[in-house]
Parts: sequence; structure tokens; C-alpha cells
Amino acid sequence: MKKAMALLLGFCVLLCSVGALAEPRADLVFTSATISLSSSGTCTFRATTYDEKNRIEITTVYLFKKTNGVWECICSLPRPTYVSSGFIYNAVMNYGDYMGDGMYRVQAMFNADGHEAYRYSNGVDF
Amino acid sequence: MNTEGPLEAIVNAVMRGEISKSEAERRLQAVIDEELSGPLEKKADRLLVDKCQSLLWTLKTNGQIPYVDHASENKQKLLQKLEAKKREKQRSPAFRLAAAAVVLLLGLGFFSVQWLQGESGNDQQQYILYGSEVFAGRIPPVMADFGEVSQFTTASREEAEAFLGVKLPVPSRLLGEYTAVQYDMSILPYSTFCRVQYACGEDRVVIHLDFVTNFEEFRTTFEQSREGTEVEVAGARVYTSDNRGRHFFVWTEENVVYDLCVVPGYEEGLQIVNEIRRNEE
Repeated sequence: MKKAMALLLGFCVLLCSVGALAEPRADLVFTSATISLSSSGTCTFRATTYDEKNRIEITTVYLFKKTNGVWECICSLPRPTYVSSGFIYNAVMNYGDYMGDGMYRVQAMFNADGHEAYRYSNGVDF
Repeated sequence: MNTEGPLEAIVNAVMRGEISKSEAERRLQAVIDEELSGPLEKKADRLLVDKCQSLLWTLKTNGQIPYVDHASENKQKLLQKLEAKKREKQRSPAFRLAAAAVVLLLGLGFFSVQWLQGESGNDQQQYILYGSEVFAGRIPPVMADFGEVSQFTTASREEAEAFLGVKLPVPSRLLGEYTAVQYDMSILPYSTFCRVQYACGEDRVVIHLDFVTNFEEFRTTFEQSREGTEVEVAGARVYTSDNRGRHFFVWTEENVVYDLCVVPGYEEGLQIVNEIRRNEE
């Protein structure tokens, strides 16, 4: 059981690391994909697409903390379960309970009919 | 013969364990919508609506926050205004639903009296929807489990302006051939967003408008494949770039952020910016 947990944790860290290394790039499906983190922990996810989509959603959300000048993945966060269709995705979550002292940011994966693009929020001092 | 009313039916179904909490919420919402969005000749059963709102509130807060109908007076004012407006013109189902949602939010106490008595234009609908800017910051705690925000889609410019509470700062027609056909709006914690889609046959022009309500938290991004440039169009500094050949134009005017994100080409984009700027003057 402990081994399985350790493997799962390792996998999570690996996923976060891969996400942290790769830089976001312009996207042909989304006209805009933005995550905004406020000082109260409110996180706003918003995206718009060029073309109409059947399903736009957030598939993963991770919390990053800045330690010694380096962003480190702390944990995964509950994602907004809201799913939209059309051209627009907007969702709001509150992650205030997950923040301790320090600077945090959120990474999330936007998914539009299977096309994925991850983005980071602004960093906020808590 | 089954004599139980809609509310009793939902309560009994919950008591019998036949439906989940979310299904109960959905059914309660449907009853409220049905009552508030029916034809004018049919008076809404206010008692039924109040009971449904109270129960819905209890379900949403797991009974931890008592339901206080301190907005009933405001609701009455709002309903009178809605009904007066409805007499003038038959509204689309989508608009009635949005209005019902506003009434429901009022019932839940998210709006203050100040909101109802606050700044308003000549249009009553502007008055109603002005509050959407005020309560924006209060949505997240209530809907945090799900994440959804208040949204509304319409083909009517009048309804879009009613939802936004302001006159749209873009014309109904662009380049003489593109006609506004769809307005998608959302209320975010820091802005009210509106996507306006114009069509000319199969061709489209799309502009995004952000009416910023909280400058401190406002943040938006634009996909681009390279650093753009600033150009001056009709007195405005317009940032323009492209996302692998798709040109876009961004500029601001007071608290409004304009993002002309789908255009036929660069020159046409500049012409459209010019038209919108002239339209404002």
C-alpha cells in the first residue's frame, strides 16, 4: 500500500515537473486561455476559442509554491467540474484554504474537444 | 388521483430517497423558472417560488446558513419592472430564464438594496442587470464546488445590453456587411465579459469586450505567435499581433478592454477598429 502511494506521489511530482519545464506557447484553438489568482485565493479560469466546441473544460489543476526562487509543485487541486460548450469557458474556484505563507500560483490544463493547453496564473503572495 | 404540488413532489421524492441532492436542486430550480418565466396572463405563485428558493438555499448551504428573505421588497420592485417590460415586448425563453436567475439571486440575498437603487440608465433592464457587476465577487464562495459563473447568450442586442447594464460600445454592423448575430456574456469576479459575433454568410468577425469591475484582480491574455506592435487608430493606441496568421487588435477605453480577435485580414481589422472608435465618438 505504502509502495503504491509512493509510486502515485512520484508520478504526480513527475507530471508537475514536466509541466513546469515546458513553457506555454501560442495556441491555435484558443484565442485566449487565462488563469487569474487573487489575493483571497479566488481563481478564475477563462478561455475563448476560435471555433465552436462541444466540450470545453479544465482537466487538471496544480498548485505551485515559490521556494528559494524556484516554482515547485505542491499538490493537485480540485478542478472546476463545470463543462461548457460553444466558444467560452469561465469558471471560478476558491483555493484559499490551500495557501499557507509564501508565493503561490496555479497551473491548469484547458481542454477543448480533446485539444489541450496548460497555462499558469499570476503569482500571488499570501 | 395525485394531488401533491410540485414542491411536495420534490420533497417526497427526497424523503423516499428517489432523487439525489443535485437532482432536487435542479427540479426546484425548474419549478422557480417555470413560475417566473411563464406568460404574463399567468400570475407567478410567489408563495411557491419563495418556498422553493428557501429549500434550494437550504440544500446549497447544507442547512448551515438560515434563509432570510430580506430581499422580498426588492424582488417585488424587480418583478414589477420585469412585468412592465414584458408587456412591451414578448421576450425570448433565454431572456426570461436570465431574468428568473436574477430574481433568484435577489431572493438568496446576494444583492443589496444599494444595488437596486444604485446607478441606472433610462432602460429598466439596465437597472436590473446593473447589479451583476456588484455581486460578481460573491459568486465564488457559493459555486466553488462547481465553478460555474453566471452566463447568458442571446441574439438580441437589447437583451445583451440589459444583461450588461450598459450600452454596447460596438455597432450592430461592421464594414457594412457584417451583422451582429450573437452575444455571449459572463460575469467574472473582476469583469463582465461579452463576446460579440458578427456574420456575413460564412465569414465571421468576433470581438471580446471586458467591462472591468475590479482593476486590481483583472487579468486576461491573448494568444500570439510573436511580439506585436502598437498602432494609432482614431486616437487610440491599439496593440496588434497575430496568432499564426490570425490577426487580432487590443485596446482599452476607460474600463473596457476591446479584443478584436477574429477578422478577415489585417487591413479589414484596422478598418473595424476605426469604425468602432468612430462609433464611440
